[in-house]
Amino acid sequence: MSWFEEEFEEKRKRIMDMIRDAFRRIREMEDMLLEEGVEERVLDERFTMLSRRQMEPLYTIIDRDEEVVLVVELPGARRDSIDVIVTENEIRIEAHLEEEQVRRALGEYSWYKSLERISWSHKLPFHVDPSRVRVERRGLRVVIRIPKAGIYHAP
Amino acid sequence: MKETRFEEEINGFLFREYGDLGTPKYLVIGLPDVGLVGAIASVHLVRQLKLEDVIGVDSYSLLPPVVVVSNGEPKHPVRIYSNGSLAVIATDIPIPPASAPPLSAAIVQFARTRGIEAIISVTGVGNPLRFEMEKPGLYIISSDENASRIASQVRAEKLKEGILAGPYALILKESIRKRLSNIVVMADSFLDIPDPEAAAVALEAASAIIGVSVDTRSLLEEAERIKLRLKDLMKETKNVMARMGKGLEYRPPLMYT
Repeated sequence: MSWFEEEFEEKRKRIMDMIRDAFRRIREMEDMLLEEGVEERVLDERFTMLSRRQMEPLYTIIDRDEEVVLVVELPGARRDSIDVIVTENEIRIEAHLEEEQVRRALGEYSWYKSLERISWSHKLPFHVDPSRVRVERRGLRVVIRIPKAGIYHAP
Repeated sequence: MKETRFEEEINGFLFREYGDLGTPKYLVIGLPDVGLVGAIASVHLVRQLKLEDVIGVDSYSLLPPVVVVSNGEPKHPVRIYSNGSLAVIATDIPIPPASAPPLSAAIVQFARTRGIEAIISVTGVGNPLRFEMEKPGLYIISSDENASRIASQVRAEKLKEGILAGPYALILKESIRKRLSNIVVMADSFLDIPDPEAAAVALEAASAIIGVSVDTRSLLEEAERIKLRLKDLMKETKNVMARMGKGLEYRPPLMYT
């Protein structure tokens, strides 16, 4: 292939990439609309949380063979204020925030200054016997183990 | 914003140079991804080595319309930091899925034209057993022989099988295409919780590869504050990861031995 042909081929590929990219972006926008406005939901959630002077913790859910594990991280929480409440179909976590830790982590922005606590509840898609749920505290990490043997669906 | 010295447009992205990039040998990339491992590692590298913000990367159509204000100074959302011999890309926003292909290609093209020898991609690999691990595992993918040679000084498991998805996959493919060495450094990480411990493991490996000494203890000491600060970025990144085909990473590839 000559230098000219190589250059032409490169340009052709770039134009095709741009066209494909344009179509991809249109699909992307459609996907976003179908997702019922993720961005709008994020804005609403954050604004509501800040209005209530509270924030959500970080969490991840792991579905294993014999148990469902919820790992919840509570950065900024006062260690002696963490409450974990397990009911038949809900896990709730409440904690007070350490003011100095929040200030150092999030800076002096006015809307962060007013944050007071962590509040989170997670509705379980099943029912469980709370006495079988194991809650382990590892500093500011809470590991909640729900054995699948204890899971049932409400009538 | 600082005054422009030079600017060039690559694949729809404007690279606005307002500082001195120098002639870096390595370009470290830390984009928001699994456990924000790359993002945490790149910011730590910039802070530890006191790298200077020298280039802003932006696009009015491909990136969200944001300006990041830091110490009262407006900045581009994607920035390149340098000390003349090492460059680092850091970003304050997750890269929108539609923008990942042109941005990845632009980064590789930029690295190639600026004489970078190798791109070091730092990221996490979401491991559901991470919460039970004392120390996250380390894995490496090398794009070519030169990358393998550079990475050989690090004791890590070579990823023999698996699927890599997202911007790091694009950067790897584009690097191979453009004959630029790319080393992907990955640490076991939480998928959707910022993971400074995983970032420390990945950064220790990356710093050994590039031949600099970086103290990662403060990453562990400041883990709580880092998690608190990056909580919202993690949530935004998780939304983006799902649309980027990250789910593919959790199944084996078609070919088997």
